[in-house]
Amino acid sequence: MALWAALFLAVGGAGRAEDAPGRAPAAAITPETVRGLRLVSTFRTGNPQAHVASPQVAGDRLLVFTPFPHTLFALKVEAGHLRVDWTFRPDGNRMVEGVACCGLGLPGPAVAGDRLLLNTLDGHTIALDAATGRPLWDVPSAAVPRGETLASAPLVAGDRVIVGTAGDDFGIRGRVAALEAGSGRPLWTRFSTGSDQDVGIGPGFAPFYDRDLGRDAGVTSWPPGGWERGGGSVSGTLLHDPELGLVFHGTGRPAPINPDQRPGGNRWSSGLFARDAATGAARWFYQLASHDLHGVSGTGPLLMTDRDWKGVRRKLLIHVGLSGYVYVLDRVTGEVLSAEPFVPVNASRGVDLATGALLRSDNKTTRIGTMTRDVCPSLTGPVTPGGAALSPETGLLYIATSRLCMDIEPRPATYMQGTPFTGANLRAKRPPNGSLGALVAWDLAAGKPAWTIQEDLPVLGGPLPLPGGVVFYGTYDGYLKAVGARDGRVLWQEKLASGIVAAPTFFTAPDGAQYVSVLAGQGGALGPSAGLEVDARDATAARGLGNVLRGVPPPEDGGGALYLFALP
Amino acid sequence: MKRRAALVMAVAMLVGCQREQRDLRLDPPVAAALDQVAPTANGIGGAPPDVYVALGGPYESNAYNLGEGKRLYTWFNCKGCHADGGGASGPALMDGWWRYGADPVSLFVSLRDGRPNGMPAYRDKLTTEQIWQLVGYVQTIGMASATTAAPSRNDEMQSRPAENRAPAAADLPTPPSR
Amino acid sequence: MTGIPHDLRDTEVDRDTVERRLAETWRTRRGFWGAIATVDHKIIGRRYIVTAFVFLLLGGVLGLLMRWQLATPEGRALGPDLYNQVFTMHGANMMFLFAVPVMEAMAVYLVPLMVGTRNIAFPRLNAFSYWIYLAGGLLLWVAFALDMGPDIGWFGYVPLSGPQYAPGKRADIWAQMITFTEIAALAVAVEIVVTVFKQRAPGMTLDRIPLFVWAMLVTSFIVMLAMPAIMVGSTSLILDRLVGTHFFNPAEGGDVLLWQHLFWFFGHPEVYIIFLPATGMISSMLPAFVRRPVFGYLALVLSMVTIGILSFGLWVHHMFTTGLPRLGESFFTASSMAIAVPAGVQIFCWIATLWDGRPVFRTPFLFILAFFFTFVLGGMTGVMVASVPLDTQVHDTYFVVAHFHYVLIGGAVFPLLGAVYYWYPKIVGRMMSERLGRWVAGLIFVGFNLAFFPMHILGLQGMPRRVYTYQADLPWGPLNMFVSLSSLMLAAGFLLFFIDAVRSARSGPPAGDNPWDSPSLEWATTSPPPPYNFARIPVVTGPSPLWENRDELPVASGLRLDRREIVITSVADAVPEARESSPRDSLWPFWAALTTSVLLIGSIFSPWAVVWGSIPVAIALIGWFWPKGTPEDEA
Repeated sequence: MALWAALFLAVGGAGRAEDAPGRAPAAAITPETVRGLRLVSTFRTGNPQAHVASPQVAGDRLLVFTPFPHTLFALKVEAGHLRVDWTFRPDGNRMVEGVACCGLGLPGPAVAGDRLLLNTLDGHTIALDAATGRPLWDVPSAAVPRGETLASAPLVAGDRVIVGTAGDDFGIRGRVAALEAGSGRPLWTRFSTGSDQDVGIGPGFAPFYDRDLGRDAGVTSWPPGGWERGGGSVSGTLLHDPELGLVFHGTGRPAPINPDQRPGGNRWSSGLFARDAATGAARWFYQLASHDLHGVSGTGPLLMTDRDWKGVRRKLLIHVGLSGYVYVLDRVTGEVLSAEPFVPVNASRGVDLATGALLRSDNKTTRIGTMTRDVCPSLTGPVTPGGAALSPETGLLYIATSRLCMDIEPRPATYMQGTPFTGANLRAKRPPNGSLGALVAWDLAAGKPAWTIQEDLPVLGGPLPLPGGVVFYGTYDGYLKAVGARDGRVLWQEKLASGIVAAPTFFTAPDGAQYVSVLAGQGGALGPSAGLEVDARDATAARGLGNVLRGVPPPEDGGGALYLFALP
Repeated sequence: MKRRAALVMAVAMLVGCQREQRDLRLDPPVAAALDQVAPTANGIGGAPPDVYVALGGPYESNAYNLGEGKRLYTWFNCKGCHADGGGASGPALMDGWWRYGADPVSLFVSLRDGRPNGMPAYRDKLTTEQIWQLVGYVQTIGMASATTAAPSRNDEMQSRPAENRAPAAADLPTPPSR
Repeated sequence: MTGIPHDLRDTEVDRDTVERRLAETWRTRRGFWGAIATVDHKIIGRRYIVTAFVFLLLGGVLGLLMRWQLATPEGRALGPDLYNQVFTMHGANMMFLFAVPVMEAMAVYLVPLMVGTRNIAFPRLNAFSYWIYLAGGLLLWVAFALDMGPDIGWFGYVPLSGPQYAPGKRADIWAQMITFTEIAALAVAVEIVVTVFKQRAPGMTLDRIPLFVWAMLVTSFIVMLAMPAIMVGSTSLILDRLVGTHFFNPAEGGDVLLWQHLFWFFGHPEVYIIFLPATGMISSMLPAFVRRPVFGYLALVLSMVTIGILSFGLWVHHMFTTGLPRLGESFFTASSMAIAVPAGVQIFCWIATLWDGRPVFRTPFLFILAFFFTFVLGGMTGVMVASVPLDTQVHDTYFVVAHFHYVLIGGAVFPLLGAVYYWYPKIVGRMMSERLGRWVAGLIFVGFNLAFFPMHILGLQGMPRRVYTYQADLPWGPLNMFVSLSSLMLAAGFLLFFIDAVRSARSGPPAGDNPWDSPSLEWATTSPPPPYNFARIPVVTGPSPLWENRDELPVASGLRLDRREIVITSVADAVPEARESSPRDSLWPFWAALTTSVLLIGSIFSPWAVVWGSIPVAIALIGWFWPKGTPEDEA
C-alpha cells in the first residue's frame, strides 16, 4: 500500500521509481465513479500559514506536516474519521522567518520503512520513529544566521540521507550533503559554487555539454569572491537511481538576481547535477541558463522514467524547467533529448539541442538600471517543485502551471549576511494570451500538450494522477477538481474553505477503504510565497505577485485543513 | 501692513526652515544621545530620547531626513522582505497593521534590536541617526494623508503611489487573520 | 473728466493746451494705488530696471560669498549645503532675474520712445508682466532666506533635481520661479513685437528702425520660440516631483536626457536673448560717440536676424559629454562655430564705424571699448569649447565658467552699464558723474579681467565647477586667492556705480533733451519724457531723424486729446492706418498677477491649487477685460 501511495507522490524528496508492479485498487476511482466522491472528514492543523506539504502516507498513517513552526501529525483513519495518533513538535528558531524567502512551508518527511526523515525550515534534519514519532537523531543542516533554510524534504538513498539547502535570495552558497541514515553523521558535502574539489568535479566528471571549462570553473566564472555568495541552492526535488547509483538534483539561480553584478557563466548555478550517491562526486552537469538573466532556477520538478525514446529504450530524466521548457534528458549521460515550452516563453527562443545552450532573445536581456518589460516566464516560476506528476497509465506528464510574465529592473544589491541579496524590482504581469494558470497534460514524445485546462488563477498545488484514469488537482481559489486523465474533461469538483497549494494524496486505509486527501490552506492573500500580512496595493509585493493578484479576495479561512474524500 | 507681513514671514520661517533644513552631520554627542530610548518591558512603545524631543522631531517632518530614509530602505535590503511596503516574506509596512507598535520608539527598537519572528537587528549595520531616518521614512509609507515633507517617487519601477501621494485610505486591505 | 469736449483733436487747440490736455489724459494718479495701477511704460520700465539691478546686487553678493569660500583650500566660510544653494541662486538669479529682465526692461522703456509712440502695446499686460516678475523674484529670494533655496545648479538637471535625489520643495521653487519669469518675458516679447510692427512713427520704414529696436524685435521672437521649451520642461519636472509622472524616469518609459534637450533648447537661445539687446545698445550708442551713423546698417540687421535663427541650432553643444552620436555632435560643432560669423560681421561693422569716425571718450564709450575686448576674448574661448575634444576636457571646469562670464559680462553687462550711463539722463533728467564713471569703468574692466582670466588656467588645471572646496595639496590655492582678491576690485567698481546712480538721481547735473547729441527719436522729447512721450507724433524721413532735421522735426497731428490715443502704422512702410486707443491705468493687472502667483505658488505644494486657484484668476481676468465705459472703449 505504501508503495502505491509512494508511487503517485510528486512532492519533492520522496523520489519515485515508475513502473511499479501490479494494479492498484485505486482503479476503483474512475471517470464514472468519481462523481460520487464525497467529503467524509476534516482535520484542522491550527496553523494559519500556507500548507505546501502534501499529506504523506507511512504505513497506515497519514502524515500532515504544517508550515513553520512545525507540527507533524500522524493521523489514522478509522471508520471514515481522522484520529491523531501522535504529534511531533520540534523546537523552532523563530528567526528563520526572517530568512525564508518563499513561505514557511516545505514538503513533509521522507518515508523509509519504519523511519521518517524530516527537514525543518530552520535547518534541522530529524529522524523519527514512524510508529511513535519519537526523534532518533537531530542534526543541523542549514545555518539560519547565514540565510540558509531547508525548503525540500530529505532524500533517502539506500543508507544515506541527502539534504540540500535553500536561500538564493539571501546570497548563500548552495550545498548538498549526505548523512548516514542510522545516526545522522555527515558523510559528504558538496557545494554549488567554488573550487572543483568543493563542487565535486573530479576525474569521473563527464558532462555531455561544455566539456572545456577549465579548472575551478565554479570560481573563475564569477567576479572575485562572487562565488562565496553565488546562490545555486539545492532546494528542489532530489532523486535517487539505485541502479545507476546516482543522485539527481537541481541547483538554484545565481545570486544576486542582478546579472551585471556577477559577470561570467556563474557555474554551477541554474543547472542539473548527477552525483555519485556514495561520494557526491559529480558525474554530469547541465546548465539550463548560463549567466542567468531571468531568475531561472534548476529547482523545478524532477522525475525519472524508463521508456522508449525515438525507438530506443532509454533511462530518462524529466525536468519541468523554470525557464519554461519541459526538458527530457538521458539521465545516464546528461544529454538533452527534447526541450519544448509548456507556458508562454519569450525570454528565450528555444534550446539548442546540439550545444544545450538556452537561446536568449535579445530584446529581453536584463541590464542594471533599465527595465525590461513583459518577460515570460516570470521569475516567480511557471511551476512549483511539487507541481508535476507522471501517469504510468496514460504516459502523460501532468503539470500545474503559473502562466505569468514580468517586468524586471535589476538594481545594485549589497551583500549583508542575513538580509536579502536580490537586486531587482519585479512586477508580475498577465501572459500575452490565455489565463494566469493552467493544468497541462504534456505529451513527452510529441513535445506538446495533449490537453490543457485553463484556470483563472495560477495553479500552485500539484496534480495527482490515479491509475483509474482520473487526475486530481486543487486550484488557488479552493476547488478540488477531478478531470479525465486522457481528455481533460472536468468530472467532479468541490469548493473548500481555502485555496489549495499542495498536491492531493491517495490513501488506502488498513480496512481497504480508499480516500483522496487534500491539505487546503493558502495562507495569506498572495499565496504561499508571502506571509499573512501583505498589501497588494504595492505592485512589487510578494515578488511582483501583488500586481496580478490584486483583485483576488483573501480566503475565508487561510489556515490549514485536511479534507478526506471517499467513494460511498 | 508691514507688521503683518513681517509676522507672516516669521511664521513661514519657522515652518519652512524645519522641513527643508539639511543637517549633513550631527554633533557627535547628539548622535550618541539619540540612542537612549527607554522602551517598555516588552519592547513595544516607550519614551524617546530627550534630545529627540529637543531637536523637534526632525526625523518625521524633515524632507531631507525622509529622503535619506528612503535611500537607506533600498540600500539596506529592506525591499527583499518588505517589498515597497507591500510585504513578501516580511509583513507589509503600508497596511497600517504593526506587530510591535507603530510609534517611533517601537519602530526604532525593531530596527535597532530586531524582533523575535525574523526581523534582523541593524544595530551593527546602521548608525543611530540612520535608524531614525528609516523610522521616519517607514512611517510615511502607509500614510493615509500626504504631508509636504514626505518623499516622492524613485526613478525606478513604479510599484505604488509615492509617499507624498499617499495610498487612498478607501483602499485599505482587510486585516490579516492572526 | 468734465469740461473736455468729446473727440477733441490736437489740431483744434494751441500747443500749450495740447500739452496740458495730454498730461491730464496720460498722467498716472498720485499715491500708492495710483502707482500700483499705472500702465505708463516708462514708470514700469524704470521699476523693472531698478528691480533687475537690485537682483544684480544680490547676485553679486552671492558671487562674492563664493569667492570668499574658495579663496583658501578647505575653507569654512560656507558649508556644502549653503554653497550649493549659493551657486544655484547666483546662476538662477543672474540668468532669470537679472540678465533677461534687464534687457526686457530697457526695451520696455526705450522701444516706444525710439519708435515714436506714446505707450507700449498692451500696457496692462506690461504691468502684469512686472508684477509677475517681482513675484517670481520674491519667491526665489524668500525661499533662499528660509534655507529653502534651490541647490541643484541653475539648470536643474535631472535626476539630481528629480523626485528621488532632491528631497523637499527646493527644486519645485526653482521650477516655479522659472514659470513666473518666463510668463513675464513672454508678455514683454509680445508687446515689443506688436509695438515695433504696428506702432512705429509714420515714415519709419523698416530700414529706418533704430538698431536697438531691431535687436529687441529679434530677441522677442527668440523669446517666444525658446521659452515654451523650458516651460514644458519645468512643468514636467514639477509634475514628476509632485504627482509622480514619469517624464524623466527611464524605468517607466521617460528619458533623463530629455531634460537637457528641453533646457538647452531654451538655454542656448537664452544667452542670445541676453546678448542681442546688448549689440543693439552698442549700435544705438556708437553714433553719438563717433559722430557718424553706424556703418553697415543692413549687414548689422541681417547679422542679428541670422544670430537669432542660428541660435536655435546650437543647443547640443552643452551636451557634448552625454554620449550622443558623433555625427550629431559634429553638426553642432559646425553650427556653434558658424554663429561666430554674424557676430564677427557685427564687430567688423563697429570697427569700421570707429575707424571712420571721431571718437568721444565719454563713459559709455569706455564701456563699448571694454565690450569689444572682453566679448571677443570670450567669443574666442567659445569657438574653442565648440570643439568636442576640447570641450570634453574642459566641460564642468572653471574654463567654462571663465568663458561664459567673459561673453555674458563682456557681451551683455558692459554694454548694459554703458547704456545706463547713456540713457540715465533721459530716464532721470540728470547726468551721472563722468569722473566717477571713468573710475567705475576702469575698476570693473580691470577687476573683471583679473578675476576671470585666471579661471581659464584653473579650468585647464582641472578645477571642477560647483565644488564647495578643494584640498590644499592641489595647485589651485594661489590662483583662487588671486581671483578672490580681484573680485573685490570688481565689487568696488559696482559699488561705486550703484552709489553714483543713486546720488546722481538727486544731485547730478541736469541734462537737457539731448546731452549726447544723439540721432534717435527718444532724444526728441524732454528728459525725463512727459507721460505722453511726444506732444505730437514725429514723422521720420531717415534713419537718423534728429541729425537730418536738426532744427525742426516734422510731426503728425489729428490725435484725440480726450482719450489715450496712438497711431497704428503698416508693418513695412509705416504708413498710418488707424488711430487706436491705449488703455488707461488699471488695478486689474495687479490683481491678476496676485491671483496667478497664488495659483503657481500653491501648485508647488498641491496639484489642487491649480483647480481652486484658477477661480480667482478667472475673476481677475474677467475684471480686466470688462468694458469700463471710458472713451478708450470706443472703436
